[in-house]
Amino acid sequence: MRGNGQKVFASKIARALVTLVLMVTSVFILMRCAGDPVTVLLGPDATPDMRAAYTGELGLDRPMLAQYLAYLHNIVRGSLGVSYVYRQDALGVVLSHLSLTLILTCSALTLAAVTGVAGGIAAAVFPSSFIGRACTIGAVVGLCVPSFFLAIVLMLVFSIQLNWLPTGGAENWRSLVLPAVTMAAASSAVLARYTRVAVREALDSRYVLAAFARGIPFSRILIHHVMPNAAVPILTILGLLIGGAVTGSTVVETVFSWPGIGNLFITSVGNRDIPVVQAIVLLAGTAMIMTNLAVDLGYAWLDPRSKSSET
Amino acid sequence: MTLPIEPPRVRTARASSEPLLELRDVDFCYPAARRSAAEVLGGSRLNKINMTIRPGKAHGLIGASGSGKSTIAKLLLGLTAPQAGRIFFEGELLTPDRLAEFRLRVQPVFQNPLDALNPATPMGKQITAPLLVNFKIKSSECQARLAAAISAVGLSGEILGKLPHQISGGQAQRVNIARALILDPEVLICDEPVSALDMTVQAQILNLLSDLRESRGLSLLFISHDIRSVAYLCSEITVLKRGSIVESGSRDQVLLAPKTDYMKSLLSAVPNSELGLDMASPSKPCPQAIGRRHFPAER
Amino acid sequence: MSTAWAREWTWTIFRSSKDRRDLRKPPKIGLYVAALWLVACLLIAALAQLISPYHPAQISLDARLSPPLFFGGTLEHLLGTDELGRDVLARLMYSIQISMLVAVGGTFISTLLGVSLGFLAAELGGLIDEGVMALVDMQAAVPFMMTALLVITIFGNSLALFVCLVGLHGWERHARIARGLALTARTRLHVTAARTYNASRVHIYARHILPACAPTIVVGMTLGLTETVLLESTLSFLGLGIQPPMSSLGNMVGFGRDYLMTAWWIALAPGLVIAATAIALMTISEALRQMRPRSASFTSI
Repeated sequence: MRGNGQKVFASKIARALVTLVLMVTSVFILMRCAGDPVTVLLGPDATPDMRAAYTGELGLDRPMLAQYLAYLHNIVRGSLGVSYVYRQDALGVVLSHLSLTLILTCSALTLAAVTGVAGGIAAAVFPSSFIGRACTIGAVVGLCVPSFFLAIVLMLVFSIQLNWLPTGGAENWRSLVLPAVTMAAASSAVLARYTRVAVREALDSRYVLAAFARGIPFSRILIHHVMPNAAVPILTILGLLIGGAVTGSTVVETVFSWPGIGNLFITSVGNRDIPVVQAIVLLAGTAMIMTNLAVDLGYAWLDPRSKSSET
Repeated sequence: MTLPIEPPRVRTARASSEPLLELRDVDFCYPAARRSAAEVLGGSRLNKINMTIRPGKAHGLIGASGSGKSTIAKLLLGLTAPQAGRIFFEGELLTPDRLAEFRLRVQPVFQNPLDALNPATPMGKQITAPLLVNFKIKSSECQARLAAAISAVGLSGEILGKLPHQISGGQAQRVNIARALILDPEVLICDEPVSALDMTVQAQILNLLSDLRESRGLSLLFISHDIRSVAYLCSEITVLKRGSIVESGSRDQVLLAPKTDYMKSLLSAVPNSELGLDMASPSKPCPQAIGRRHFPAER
Repeated sequence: MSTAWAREWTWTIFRSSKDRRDLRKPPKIGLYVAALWLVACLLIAALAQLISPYHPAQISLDARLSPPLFFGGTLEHLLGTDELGRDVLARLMYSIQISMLVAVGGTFISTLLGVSLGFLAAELGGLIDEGVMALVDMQAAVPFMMTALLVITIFGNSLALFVCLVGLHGWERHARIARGLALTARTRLHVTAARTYNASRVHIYARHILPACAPTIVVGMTLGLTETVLLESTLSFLGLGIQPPMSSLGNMVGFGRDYLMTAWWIALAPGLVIAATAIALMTISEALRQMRPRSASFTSI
């Protein structure tokens, strides 16, 4: 049994590695489609010396396979070219923007987790009451209103009309509120929908009925019988939201001019600063793949059934 | 391919000893991934199966569930290939390139009639689908064949526009038989054709199969776990237990003089009167059944 | 007395679980409104050239930043005008046209791609199956926004490329669902029966397996359409989708953002249209999903 579990783990890790390699390869192919990689990575105004050095480093005179291997080698070393706006190593530029993005996404995700799970439980437990319906409808609206539009509406109301909060920047906690709320809305809606389904399913099951029949108080049933069984799908979604946090913040950061990775991304795309774009894509993709893997492995740990069913 | 235009042939039994369809030393085992499930069900692996189906005869195959009956049907329909051994059709080895032609002449009737019909297509189209797939055919010709097929199985024309959920199980099984007959096959492989139907409908379908065998010279392989229906319909019987043949021979040998304990226990589970005279008495007893009436006295 | 209350309450929970099917049905009126809205949008998209009150690029400098009708505006410009005096309603109609084109085209491409790849994987199995599933995993792992922005950075932008790019979004979900459904459907007895009369693979997939998968795929398509509308508007909002002089709902909001202080209606009108369209599509896909028996692949969003 144990050997089998390890085999499953190994196959999941292998799958993640294959996905990673596939991603890197597609980026390589895309970059090669874009034109001469020296121009792409160094920019149009590079000196001939730099060009010659880079040609040597990438091995552009060698066959495609060797070039591909050199590219992989560069990625492993963390050298993704020089940003031709910042004149620095692209990965360094990206990492210097990381902390602000993490602050934003962490606060947004905390907010989303609290409101989403609470709303989902409310919608599942009181499906016909006002609260339940409000949560259900709120989830649909949160999912359907694009975040840039929500951002604009919030800005219009709280910054322009009421003048409570700033419209942008990242000076203090007051400038964090609007971006975090905007970003939390969509994640919270997704979480609420999954939570509602999972909790409803657990509530409809026989063991909850049996617990009611034994006269166990409802709050205890909710905590000890329903939530452990509803936890797996909820945590899965939460994991995926964490993995996608870097992209999720792109729009919000742009609208509120929050100087994080998302903002850097859009600016770099606008400047055609391909080394930085490439670095962000690889970073975000890796983060997502790693979270997926962690979620997959977490299943086995959280759900006792999956251990035996994998045999 | 050209279409055999002549009306349903009444095949005069050829040298009836020459086997039409033959399994020789066939071994079969499900691939590893599915083996565990199959083994739980009693080990669906076949072991040295030898069987012959003769022209114009009905051959019965009896066995408990999981004994490999349906696997034999799958092999005979070319849906899976045996791991060892060979399948002969008209004395020639059945190879993948002969399969298309073979399938025009060997057609199935499945256990669950409603599952065997596409839920989204009206009956008429389903019955003619085999023709349209295999032959280039004029629509008038197609309609004529369709009419002939449904009258042969005793259905009325109004069923043609209906969908599977609008008809009964017995009607659905008749549609299945009509779909098999429209290619004018020589062999029908009936895999538990009546198990999913209720008693009165079972009798109707059994009689229909018996009639078809007589009027068209069809050969039947009749697979069932019900000894009574096999005894009624078939002149030769093979008994299967856990993937091996335990008994085989003419009906009288198998039913009246069982050699193995397994067969004896199977027979003792059925009231003797139902197997004997009474069983042979429904509306259209087959000729062998009439001849058989004398045997109990001899015993 | 508290126990009596608790019992009462317990009953409501269980009763509601029994009546869940009725309760979970969206209100009928909502469904009709959603359908009406979508039909209206499609009509506007089809007839934008005929019913638009002005040409969307027609500039009238003396009517700049005129507010909508009930906010101090005039009948001449129902939804007001923008910074160049272009009529917002006219621009909205042309934007709906472009956005619908991109959304419908993109969803069509992604469904076609996903379903064909899913069927291929299911039918051929082996290495091809593994390859398709690895592609699916990759597509699901890399946030689509990243892929889209990378492609746009490298290849620039045009309407056709943009539609294809949007069409790449969501194919992996269709592929996964189509593969799963096909794997189940091809073990059905009627498929086996079709094989015994020499039906070709194409015939089996077209006549037997596709009809069995169609309802689920349609639900997936409406869901995909919702996401495509949002994706298109987001990319256009960021200035990476539809480029001027063409306008889509997203880039109208994007340009309107600069005038938020003085002329909020420029951004608000297209934003509301996007939100309403997405909600309408979501309502309809929910209704479709509940019409058919629950299928495992769609318990999630």
